[in-house]
Amino acid sequence: MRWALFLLGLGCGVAQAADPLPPQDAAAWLQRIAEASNRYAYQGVFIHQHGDRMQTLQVSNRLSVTGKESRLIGMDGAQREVRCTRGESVSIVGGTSPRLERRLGSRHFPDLLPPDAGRMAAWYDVRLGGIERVAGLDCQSLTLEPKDQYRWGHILCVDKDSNLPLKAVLIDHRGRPLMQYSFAELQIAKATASVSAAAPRTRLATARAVPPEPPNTIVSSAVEVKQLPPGFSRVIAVKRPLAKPGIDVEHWVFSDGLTHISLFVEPLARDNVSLKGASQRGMTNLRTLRVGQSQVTVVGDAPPAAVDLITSSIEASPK
Amino acid sequence: MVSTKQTQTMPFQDAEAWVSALLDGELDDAEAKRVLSRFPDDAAAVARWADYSLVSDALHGDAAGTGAFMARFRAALEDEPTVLAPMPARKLQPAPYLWTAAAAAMVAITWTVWTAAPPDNGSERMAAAQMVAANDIRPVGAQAPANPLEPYLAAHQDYAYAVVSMPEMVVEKVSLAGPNR
Repeated sequence: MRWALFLLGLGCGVAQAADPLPPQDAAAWLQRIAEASNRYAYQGVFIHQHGDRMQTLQVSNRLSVTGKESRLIGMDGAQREVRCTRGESVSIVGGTSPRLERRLGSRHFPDLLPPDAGRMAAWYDVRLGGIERVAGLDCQSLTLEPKDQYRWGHILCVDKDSNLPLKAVLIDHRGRPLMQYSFAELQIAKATASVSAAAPRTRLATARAVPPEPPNTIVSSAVEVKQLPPGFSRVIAVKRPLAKPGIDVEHWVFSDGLTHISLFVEPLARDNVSLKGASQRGMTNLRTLRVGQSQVTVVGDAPPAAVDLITSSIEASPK
Repeated sequence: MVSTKQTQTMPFQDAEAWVSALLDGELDDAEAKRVLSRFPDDAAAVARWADYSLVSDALHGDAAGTGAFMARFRAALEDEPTVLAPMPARKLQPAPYLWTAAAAAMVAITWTVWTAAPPDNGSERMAAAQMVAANDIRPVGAQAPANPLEPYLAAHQDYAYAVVSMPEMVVEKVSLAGPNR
């Protein structure tokens, strides 16, 4: 038994001692993973675990002449479906009387990395791990370790043939899992030009080719964010109804491609209080406070340092 | 050409899935004929067909003339309760050392909300909600307000993951506003 533990420890030591890939190789790996969902059609069932909650979802990704179309269907709990096509995404919530909600983002597991994922090698050390097995498929394990305190780490296991992530685990600085996805079953179809042409013509694919403008893009705001964590930029800024009827809230999203931090700006509430919150295992961090005549709320699946840096750099816009 | 790595096929998840499959052209001619014949006797399927068509139109910015769905949607939205959770009454504690830090925690609150909460299921959320004060654990009954932070968490998660799995948050009241704010 002791020997077994010793060998296990030795194995872990060797795994940890693996050198990070040179930046060029790291960027190439990330880019290949990011492109997998554009090159392969697939359908499968994956499990999402967040804290003590678990959800099973069916996912399908279809390639057509106009790009990829994906659908995500919740298989337990409330009926919820997400459809993404050409960068546009909607959620359908409910059964007999479905509610339609436009989503701001159009990516979801296993398509987690942004199109230009290679640039993220600047913010993460990428290490190759061993060959593992997920959903009956062999996969290459990779660890993305953040180089600073502003993002969580990631462990991916990508299909050896397609580079499609079969498993993704968000980890904190001690390597403890915060959230994870894992396929339970998956079918992958090799994507070639002929497969794309043979893909079924869907109603969505035959609809108007010009995507609509993003809803209510913000042209001015009551606040300014003076500093962002390195590698982060503003990827979304829209006005949307949220909690209070008749009041649109500005929703900004800052991202480095993998980590997302939302900023909500709305007119000052009468009962405004400053709050500081964290999820049970610290993955999600939240701050809400007054800035000038606005109430701002910062929410991110990021370490406290990143959320605090953004929060402390928000200033009221000069009139 | 198509390398199927696992041979299991994916069945329809529920009886309504055939409407979606039909709309997306996933059925062959025989199946399509069979399910088309179900429409005259199935008003719910007709409504679902209309709703799914609206989804497609909305995706492409053609959602003008939204018909019954948007009427129902607006009505349902207006029926949504606006709920604010008051901070629990603070018990004064004669413990001055607690007040030394500028950002000293005054009250700790834990909210538990339903995973993947659909916004129209308030009662279930409320039943699940509980607030825990520093020295006072009081489960709140059905009249308890929902978590006022939930819309922000849901909006963020919807962007970040598509999956909305509401985390259990521990929230403190703090002093974050500086003199210039």
